[in-house]
Amino acid sequence: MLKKLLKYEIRNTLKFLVIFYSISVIFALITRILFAFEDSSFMVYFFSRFCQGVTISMMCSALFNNLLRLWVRFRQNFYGDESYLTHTLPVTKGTHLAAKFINSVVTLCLTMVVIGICLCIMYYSNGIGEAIKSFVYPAADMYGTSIITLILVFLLILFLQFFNILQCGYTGIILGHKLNKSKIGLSVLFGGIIYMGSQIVTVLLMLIASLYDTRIIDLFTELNPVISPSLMKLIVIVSIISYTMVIIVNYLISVKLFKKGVNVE
Amino acid sequence: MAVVECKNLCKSFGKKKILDDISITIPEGRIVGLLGKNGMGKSTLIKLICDLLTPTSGEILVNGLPVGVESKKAISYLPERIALDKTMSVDCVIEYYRDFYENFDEAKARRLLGDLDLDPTEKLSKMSKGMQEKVQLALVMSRRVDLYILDEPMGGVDPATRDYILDTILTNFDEGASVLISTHLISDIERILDDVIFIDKGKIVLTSDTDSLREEEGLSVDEIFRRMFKC
Repeated sequence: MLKKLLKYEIRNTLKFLVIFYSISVIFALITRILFAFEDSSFMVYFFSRFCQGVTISMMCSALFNNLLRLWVRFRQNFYGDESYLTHTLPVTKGTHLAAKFINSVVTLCLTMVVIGICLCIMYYSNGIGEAIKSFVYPAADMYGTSIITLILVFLLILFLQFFNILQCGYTGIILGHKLNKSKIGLSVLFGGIIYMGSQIVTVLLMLIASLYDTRIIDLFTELNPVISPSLMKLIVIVSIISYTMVIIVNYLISVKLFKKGVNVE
Repeated sequence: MAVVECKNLCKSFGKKKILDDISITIPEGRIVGLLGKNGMGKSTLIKLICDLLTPTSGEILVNGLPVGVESKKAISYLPERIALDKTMSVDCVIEYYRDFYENFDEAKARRLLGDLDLDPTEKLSKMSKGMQEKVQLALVMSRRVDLYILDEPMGGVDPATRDYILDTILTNFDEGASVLISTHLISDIERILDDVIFIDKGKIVLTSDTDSLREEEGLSVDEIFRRMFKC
């Protein structure tokens, strides 16, 4: 059943996002072409900048609409009119949530890939490639890692941040709909509180890690702490582990709350 | 054997008690009318059986099992609102039902929808509300289940559509299955009911088989209802 749910989840989310993806890629291509001729006239220069603006705004829209779309669909499916069908399907509540979780991972990753592709289409050239390499190389060298690993770690932290926001929203919606009035307002409120809570937990986990490496505590106590490459590496690892743990715990809480049953209007 | 058994069922929203100690049984192969005025708890009871609400206390058994995946396989539910994703086409919703319900008879659904002269590629959002309701009814009645639960199937529709709905229900429910119909439009469905359950202010006030009730009271069910719930 999970496969079947996923089929409809991904289809429904992408049906909407594909518009943003297409516009982003098309305008990225136009921008790239116009960049090649922008010295020829002011109009070409103007349009190249205009298309660049459209591409960037569409990439941002894809990311934020992805988040909003997933929240709206979560509410529609589980608490709106469509919930009358969703909750009468012969599927467990855990499977329903797992499908939402996987769909969120897939579409968020896809959106990030599309953004990466658009940036490459617009800006990539040997010169830019070399500039990025020379910019990132010292950092990669300092941390004793490759440029690719460093970029992937940066993207992973970005992804975990967005996913944490998304998951906090889901738990907020479930909690908000446990009550009998102002369900949407309370969902937003609970989502915000859970997000703040998740950030506090991340800091606490960082403090727990400082018990094993006292250099971390300097970040909180020293005015100008010295961040050595090995300390930075440790902070990155602890951050990734903390965010992953917070997301998993948050997900498990939402599963537990959801399994207790729903009260559809 | 009972298809549905509710034991001492209570449902409250905050301090407001919607259902109070409800105990009913829906036997196999019967058409049961769940009758009551608006806001008396008919839909709440149905939603509890369909797992759309969580009981405050009490127990619901469907084919002897608690509400869950197995009970959902055994119940085909027509809600009082359109629950289908309106961005889908008729073909898509058929595919959806086929994917999730093993007991869905696609040929029957296509035949019923064909009678409505629908374009299968048309999106539900482009259809009138009445047509969307008919599509939903056709899908619900195309499942082979033990119990069909129809919540206000004729609420807010014209008399011609009421006849269509009633006809579709009567000619399409699976043989041996039970049907639970909730309504306050009793005169329209009285002739098809085997049993009636009267609900008032969250309590069951009467359960009886229709023929005995008519015989005892010397009145139609509609008249009994009007007399009992006179404002």
